[in-house]
Amino acid sequence: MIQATNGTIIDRLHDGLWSVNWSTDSDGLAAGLLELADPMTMLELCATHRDGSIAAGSYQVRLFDDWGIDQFLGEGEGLSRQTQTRITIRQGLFDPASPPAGTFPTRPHVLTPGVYALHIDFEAAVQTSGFLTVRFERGIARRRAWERER
Amino acid sequence: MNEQMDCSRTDHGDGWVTVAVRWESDADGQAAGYLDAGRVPHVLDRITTKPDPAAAPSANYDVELIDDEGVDLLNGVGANRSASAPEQRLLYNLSGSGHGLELRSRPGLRLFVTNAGSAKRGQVLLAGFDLPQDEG
Repeated sequence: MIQATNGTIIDRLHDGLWSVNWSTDSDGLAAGLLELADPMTMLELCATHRDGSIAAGSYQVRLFDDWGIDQFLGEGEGLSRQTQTRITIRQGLFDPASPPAGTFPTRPHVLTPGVYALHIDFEAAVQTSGFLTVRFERGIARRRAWERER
Repeated sequence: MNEQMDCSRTDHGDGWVTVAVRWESDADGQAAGYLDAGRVPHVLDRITTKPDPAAAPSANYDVELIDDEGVDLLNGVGANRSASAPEQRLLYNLSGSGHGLELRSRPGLRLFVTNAGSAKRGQVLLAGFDLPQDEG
């Protein structure tokens, strides 16, 4: 369960689907802490903003680990306020000094057990609400399989 | 590890492993230490660096993972680290296949921190997974 630190967060975890209803506070932030006891492989993030009257601009969904690294890998940045956004959370080829040529398949991303902070972030004074889901698998089987099968 | 580095391994279950390394640079702005082959994950997925705000390293300090032939297995990915913010880098092997960095059969691995300034401190976190005995 997420312990809300800003705004309102109501979450439910069921069969590899983590669903979160959120409402931002006067700072435009909904946030909460959660603790993962086991390694988890993320599959997909689906984010929905409910209030159609605040359609201009974007918002951010991030999952910070205890070192402040966004483990949604930046995929939740700049989300549309108008449409539902469905994102596969996979590791792309970002930063080797000399990237190999050709298209690079992405890898499943594993979360290390620990405490994480979920942030849904609008600019100050935007009080609004929405919904997000994260599909995941417990353990690292998919990450292992990716390594073995390629 | 030598006296400039302190290394601790955590097994999180299902083979997922992290190795946390605390380093302190010498007067030349360097820290170095051997990584025991039995402690590093078989396949390295990512590396995260974190400067110590109380003794922050110089901007654009470098982290390398050197094998026994002197090759930086990070392929430069650990270069130019931030002196103020934690940074994560995903790792791929040098062949370009997209696989993680296989460390299982690599003896004599050394972690090097350079260009950090004198008596600076930070942490490096290595994350990856072990392979079953019959795999690989």
